[in-house]
Amino acid sequence: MELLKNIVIAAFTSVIVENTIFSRALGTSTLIMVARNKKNLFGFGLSVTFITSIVSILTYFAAKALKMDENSYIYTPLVYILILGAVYIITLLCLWKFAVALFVKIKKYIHISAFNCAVLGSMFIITEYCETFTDHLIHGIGVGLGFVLAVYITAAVYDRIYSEKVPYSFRGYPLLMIYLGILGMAFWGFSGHIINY
Amino acid sequence: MVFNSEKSDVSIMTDMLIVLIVLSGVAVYYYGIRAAVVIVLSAAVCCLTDLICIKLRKKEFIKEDISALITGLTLGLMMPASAPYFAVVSAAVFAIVIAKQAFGGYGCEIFAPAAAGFLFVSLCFPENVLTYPAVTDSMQKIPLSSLVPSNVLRSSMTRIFITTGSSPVSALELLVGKFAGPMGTGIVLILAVAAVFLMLRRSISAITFFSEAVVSGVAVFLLSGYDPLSVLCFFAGGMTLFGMIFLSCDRSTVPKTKSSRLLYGIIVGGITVLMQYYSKTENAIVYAVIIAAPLGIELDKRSLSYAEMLKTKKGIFSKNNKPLKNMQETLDILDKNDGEG
Amino acid sequence: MEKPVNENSSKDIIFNAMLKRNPILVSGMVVAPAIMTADSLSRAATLAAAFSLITFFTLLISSFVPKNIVYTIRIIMYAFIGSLVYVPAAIMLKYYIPDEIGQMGIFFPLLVVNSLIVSRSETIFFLESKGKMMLDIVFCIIGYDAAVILYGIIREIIGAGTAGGKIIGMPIVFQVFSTPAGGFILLGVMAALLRIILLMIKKVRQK
Repeated sequence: MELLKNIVIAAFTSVIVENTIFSRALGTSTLIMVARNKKNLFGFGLSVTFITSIVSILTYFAAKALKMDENSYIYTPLVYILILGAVYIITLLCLWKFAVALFVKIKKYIHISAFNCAVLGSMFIITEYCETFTDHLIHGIGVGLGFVLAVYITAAVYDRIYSEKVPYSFRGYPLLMIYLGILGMAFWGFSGHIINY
Repeated sequence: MVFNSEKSDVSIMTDMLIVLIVLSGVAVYYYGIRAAVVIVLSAAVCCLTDLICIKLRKKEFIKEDISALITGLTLGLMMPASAPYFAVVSAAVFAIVIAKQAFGGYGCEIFAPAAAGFLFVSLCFPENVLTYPAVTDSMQKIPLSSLVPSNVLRSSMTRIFITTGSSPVSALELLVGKFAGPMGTGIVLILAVAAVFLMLRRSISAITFFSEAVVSGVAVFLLSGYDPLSVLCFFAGGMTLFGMIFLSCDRSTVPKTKSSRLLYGIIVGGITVLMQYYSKTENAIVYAVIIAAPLGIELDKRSLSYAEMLKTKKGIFSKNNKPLKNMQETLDILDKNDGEG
Repeated sequence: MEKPVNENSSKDIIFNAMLKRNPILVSGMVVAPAIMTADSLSRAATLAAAFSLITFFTLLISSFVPKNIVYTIRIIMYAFIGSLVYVPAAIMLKYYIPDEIGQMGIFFPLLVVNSLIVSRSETIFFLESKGKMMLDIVFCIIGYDAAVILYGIIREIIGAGTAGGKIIGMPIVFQVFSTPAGGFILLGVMAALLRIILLMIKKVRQK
């Protein structure tokens, strides 16, 4: 029961309280690209969550070795990029072998869902603030779901933000930033302080 | 923009204005001249800023559009009577320029401007905007200077309720709004009458109001260990009841279909309780309304696409194989609203 | 997705790279490090230095990756090259500005997968001739640096009431601009102002 409660709190924290976009601005560029194309939202969300979950598990093992060396900050990005690259290639190969239709569908955006600040950032954050394997996994899944939530909330108002009724100077990207800022202020209510990075 | 096609925006805004003026009168009675200064300043800055933005955008100024005045009064009532004037002006400018005009002006807002403006200043100046003068019998003299000395200010009743879990004031004081808090948002008796008045006049959505009130009320009742005083404290403090009437039912941002209004109300009520009880956030309704706003838009889209799907299928709705009258009316209104933007 | 623009002269390339396609104020690229770390002049300058170093050398080396390699593998190679370039950059910056780099936290290593490297390289830079590409890259980076430093200065003044770490006696300080939420809002307002400036420039040119 206690374990379940901790899992729920950890999941809530990583999805809502420490939301990737609203609390740390990670993956904003990717969010802008993806919110445009609402058709692939579900597929994109699934691929991001899948990748963050798998890399969080691998990060758990890598972090143990990296933490032993005080100069690991120099080559940690290299190690994480290699992990990310390996997961990315293996995922594509498995899909190509066993689910060709899905491979064709997601190959257009899987590189964006793998190589972005949200995924790599989550690896660093998880290394820094998570201790146990369960923590790693829950935060990995939570980061993916939090990112998907932010993308969904943004895609919902995309038409309004790009509407002709919006003054030209604000239409599109400037208003999107303001929109994320106002939502960020509201999500601040969940935590009440600047999240560590 | 109006769910009930028989009721014009002007009529709705007039009803809101009447209620807000009554609440302003009570606030002035409790807090004195300074309350009047804050409310008038907020309303004036909102109207002036709106006028300037309309002129800059080279749009036509519609004199029946008193939405900026409504925003100003709402914002003024959400402030403490001791709010510094710079905070009031900042909130008003932010509400109109950023939350209203940047999004396209009247009818195009995503967030309730008053909620966004208040949120902005509560994060910019928490020590000024989240501390309140005590309520004395009547017409107390709060210094008219912009910055009120901090020794006359205190934490809100809601902050004490959140921290201790029990109401620091009696039920009578909660009903008449005699506790430290935003100057116009705690007078439960008047707010309850106002809610009934506005619902009967169809100026606010009864579905949204009741769904959020019931969900949050039941949740608080259960979480507080079946304590009715805590439920009263929840609605009176933290501008909960006020927010349910004026923020979540803001005619520009409330969803347009019945089903989406119901779900929206449930979401707002749920998030309010979650934030107040688990994140210990004061004025949780303001945050909840902002977070739920894009969800309301998405719910509308989904219910429209569902309605269109149902419209094309035969023999589903009623025994006469025709769409239900209210659904058809909904589609007509949504079509009309799409045309207007 | 960004597309290459017909640019005839160096002047056009510079203007487009710095203003019309400014990475942060127009294209929404490399936003996270700016919002989270550039809340003062010194921190914005640190970000600008780190970004310039990593991005320039990564793009320079990545431009030699053969284009006949599958796109999937090319992206990984760019990120890999970025993480290799990060090694000397990290050693150098940690030696000269250890405190400032430490304050950047995870956003310093995250620069290895910034959007200019992962996205704009394929859509714009590597489709241009080598000369144009170098000009484009350099002025894109300068455009980003200038925007971020200006952003940091404004944020420090209105969010903390200081300039370059010194109190300047601002009558009102808006604390929210020191937070990520305020950072988003200020970035949006600055992007809108740039759009107005570009519109005015366009009108002047047309006259």
